[in-house]
Amino acid sequence: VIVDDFDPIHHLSAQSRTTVEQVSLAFLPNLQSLGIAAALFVPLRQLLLGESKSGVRGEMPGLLTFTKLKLDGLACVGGAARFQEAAFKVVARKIEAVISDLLNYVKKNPERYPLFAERDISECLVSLLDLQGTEEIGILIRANNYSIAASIIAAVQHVTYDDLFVVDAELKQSLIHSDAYTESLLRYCKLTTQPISEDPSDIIGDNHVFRWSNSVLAVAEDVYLDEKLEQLSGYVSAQAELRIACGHQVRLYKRWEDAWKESDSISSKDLPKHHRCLIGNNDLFAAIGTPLAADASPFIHARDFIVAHRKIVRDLVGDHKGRDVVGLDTRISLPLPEIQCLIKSSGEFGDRHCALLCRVLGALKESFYEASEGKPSKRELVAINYATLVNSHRAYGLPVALRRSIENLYQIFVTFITNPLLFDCLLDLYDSFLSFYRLLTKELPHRLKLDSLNNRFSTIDERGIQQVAAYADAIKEALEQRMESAHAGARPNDMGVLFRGGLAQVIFAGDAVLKCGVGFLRKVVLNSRNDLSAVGVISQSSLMPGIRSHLLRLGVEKRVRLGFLEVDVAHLFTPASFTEYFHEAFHLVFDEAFRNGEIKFKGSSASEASSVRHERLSEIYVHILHHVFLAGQDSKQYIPFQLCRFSDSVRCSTKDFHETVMETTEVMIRLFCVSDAFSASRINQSIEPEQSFGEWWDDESEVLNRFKLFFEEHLVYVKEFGEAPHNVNSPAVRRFAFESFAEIFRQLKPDLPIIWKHATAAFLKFLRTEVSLEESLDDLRAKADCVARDSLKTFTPVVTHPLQVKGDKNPMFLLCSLLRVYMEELALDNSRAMHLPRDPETGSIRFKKGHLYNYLLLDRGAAGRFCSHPEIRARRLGMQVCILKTCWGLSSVMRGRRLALLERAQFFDQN
Amino acid sequence: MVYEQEVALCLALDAEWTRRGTVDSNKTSGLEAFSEVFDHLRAECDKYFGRVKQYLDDLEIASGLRQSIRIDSGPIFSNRRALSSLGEAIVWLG
Repeated sequence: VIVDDFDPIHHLSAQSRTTVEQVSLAFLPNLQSLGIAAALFVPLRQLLLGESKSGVRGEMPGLLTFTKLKLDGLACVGGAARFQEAAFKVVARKIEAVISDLLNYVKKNPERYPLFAERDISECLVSLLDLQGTEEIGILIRANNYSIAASIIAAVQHVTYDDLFVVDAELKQSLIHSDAYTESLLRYCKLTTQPISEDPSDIIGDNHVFRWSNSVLAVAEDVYLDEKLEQLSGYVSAQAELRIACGHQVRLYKRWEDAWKESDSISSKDLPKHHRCLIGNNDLFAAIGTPLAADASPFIHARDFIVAHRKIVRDLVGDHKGRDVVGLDTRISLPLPEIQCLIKSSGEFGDRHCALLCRVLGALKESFYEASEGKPSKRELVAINYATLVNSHRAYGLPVALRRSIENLYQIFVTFITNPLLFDCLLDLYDSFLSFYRLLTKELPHRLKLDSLNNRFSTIDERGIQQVAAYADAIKEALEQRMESAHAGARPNDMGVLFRGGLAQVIFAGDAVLKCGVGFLRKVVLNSRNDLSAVGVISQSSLMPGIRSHLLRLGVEKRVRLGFLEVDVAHLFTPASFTEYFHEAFHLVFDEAFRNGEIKFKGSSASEASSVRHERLSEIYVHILHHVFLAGQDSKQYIPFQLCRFSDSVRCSTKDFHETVMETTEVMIRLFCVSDAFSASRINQSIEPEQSFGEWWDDESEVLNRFKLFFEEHLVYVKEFGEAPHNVNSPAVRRFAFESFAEIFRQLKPDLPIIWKHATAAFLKFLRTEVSLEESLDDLRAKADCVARDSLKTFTPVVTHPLQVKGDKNPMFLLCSLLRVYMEELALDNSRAMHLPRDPETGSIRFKKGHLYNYLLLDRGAAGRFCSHPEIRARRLGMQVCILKTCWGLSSVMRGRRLALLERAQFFDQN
Repeated sequence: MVYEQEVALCLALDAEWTRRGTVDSNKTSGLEAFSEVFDHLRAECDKYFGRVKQYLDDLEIASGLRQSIRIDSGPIFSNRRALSSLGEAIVWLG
């Protein structure tokens, strides 16, 4: 299904009345931008509908082949975006080469005709897809001869790193600068005493770029049901495996024999020399005990195959009302011609075919399990030791069921993260597993020991157990989501409740944003960039609408901070909600600064501060940071954006109108404090933020007047709440809001300058260390905005980050620019209705005639906005794809760093 | 690499044709059960696009806004495990 919005994905898969086996989502790369010009490559719309851009439909080939390819581990960590782009280009070149070889094959040797006709080759159409599931590259082939697809798949499976280096010369440099590659290489050379070459070609030039492929064959509906078979050519060998209901077997054996006795349509021919290429997850099918070349079953013409297959379905299934046959699987092999480009690939692999990660990860696995309990080791900073885990958490009374579950969780994690075919899917969870490990093996036992010295209980209490269990549950969920379809083997039906499969890459993208936020905390507040066990934060997909954070409070937060974000799936696709990941990460920053005494409130000690006042100050602090990152000094952009986010969240959907008014007023007051601070003080990179706001906030009547103006100006974003006469836009509500403001502001006033100072100082510290020491803030922002605008205008993801040329810098600043430009596109017109009008009784949409509506309408409880304008919807989708792909690239960079740190620590320890 | 302003979704569905006999004895042919699944899928997609079209009809905001939206059923490919190991029907509608 080709759609211009993410919304229908759920609609189409959830409403299917039959079992959903699998869902694959794909973004569509523009062929021209990849420099692919050959006529056989067509956009997906053309391949599926036979429709050119002018809308003309032509006769289409009736056989379809869909192949999914998984990029190699080294290509996935560090610079996946570049590798994927280069892989698309190489795949296209390979396919062109195969087509040209096939033409030569037919022309030079007419006796080979039974395998191919020249016409089959010229009719073939190919589309390239950027898959969002486990595999990253998809190839869709429409042809009248399956062997063309088999040839294409075989050639693409043989793509090597050297092929990639040819199409993108800078890839080598990017590998040399990638920590993941250089550390793996160092480690490998240490293990094998191989000499080190600086040129990646010498090491992995002949390595294959794809880990596995998975192919599916299909027949167009009309070809199958209406027997439009004339156009088909080529050969197929098929073996049916039928599952028959108990007691029905003998009857069916008889029917089977009768059915094929009469058949004379099957033709077996002597084909020219070929290989037997099995389709599906596996590649070779041979009867045990026979030579590989022996045919397990004869090849028959594709037309006869379709006829025979229809016969099985029609006669064997239909005759006894479907009660005989309860399952049908077929193994299909295709004849693979011996064409030139495949003959070249059949030789021996030389020294440049090196299983780099296989050796390195294997060694890493040993270190997880070796008994080093009690032995001080640098490796303990970054590695998990299974024996230590098992022995330590017995001591403080963690219930046995939870303990065992946690042990199982770590066992699964360790075996998968050291598996060269799977490790990259879990690298982004490493910090969380490591921090949790530190909590369980070190910090909790230590704290409970101190408790026992103070004559308190030395076992963990119920609240503590609940928190540990909740966190274990969150990382289990995250692990399962990543592993759901990570195996190359057989896949069960898609039983996902939160979402259907095929979203692995989107999960990585969202997680990268969260990691950027946590990186800010690590670097700016904790000053411990490389202490991976200091913070463990993950996002957990949840049924609960919206985004909310849960932080563990176990009394050890000075040393290890654990938390998880609950995110509903719709938010994963909505880049505007990525800003909330930052918001939640900034809460961690506030908590940390408050805990370690960097933020001390005036007038009352921390313990005396009421929780409401503390929460308000914490929210305002977070908004200040969020504001300066996302919108700079420009409140005109930030405040409406936040009010829109509030307005379409479930927070405003209270049953009680008074509650809605109180909630709205609270949000308005907090945002006013932020906006008012930005009106008074300008953050400049060269000036320390010493603003006291003394005069600006001294005159309370003046401040109230400013709030009144702010309220009136922004009421438009929430005034559609409630139905008349109970509407937010009423005098009573204003009175309530203004009175509340006066009281709340008086409480907050003494501490506002303190949080302003800390938040802005944290931001400036980030800029100086992570972005640039020299350029002014305005120049930096202008540069980042320019990159972001260009990217979103052309729907081109940002692959290299011009502001952060040094590989290990936090890309948060640039990411914020992308989100800022995206926010501008979502800005609403004040003079038109902003909310999707729904009937309060039925929830159905009721547009009122004569009313003016924005094109992108807020819809309470929906993650994204409703858009009924095709062009704007398509543009929004283009931008969403662009941001998701940018974040996916970042995720690859971050996972690369994790792998490098992991290897480096082990390396140190062994020296 | 530039991206198009549309995304593709591929659904692999189990037509449950082997179980039809026990569920609905009126379906006497596997082919009939199968073609019913195709019809259902097409209807589902049309329903979604139809809903969007209805919104557009409702939304008489300004002249020129209402643009034709593609409501088009493209090919559904029969796959049904017989033709490999995944699913029984693959839907690629346009």
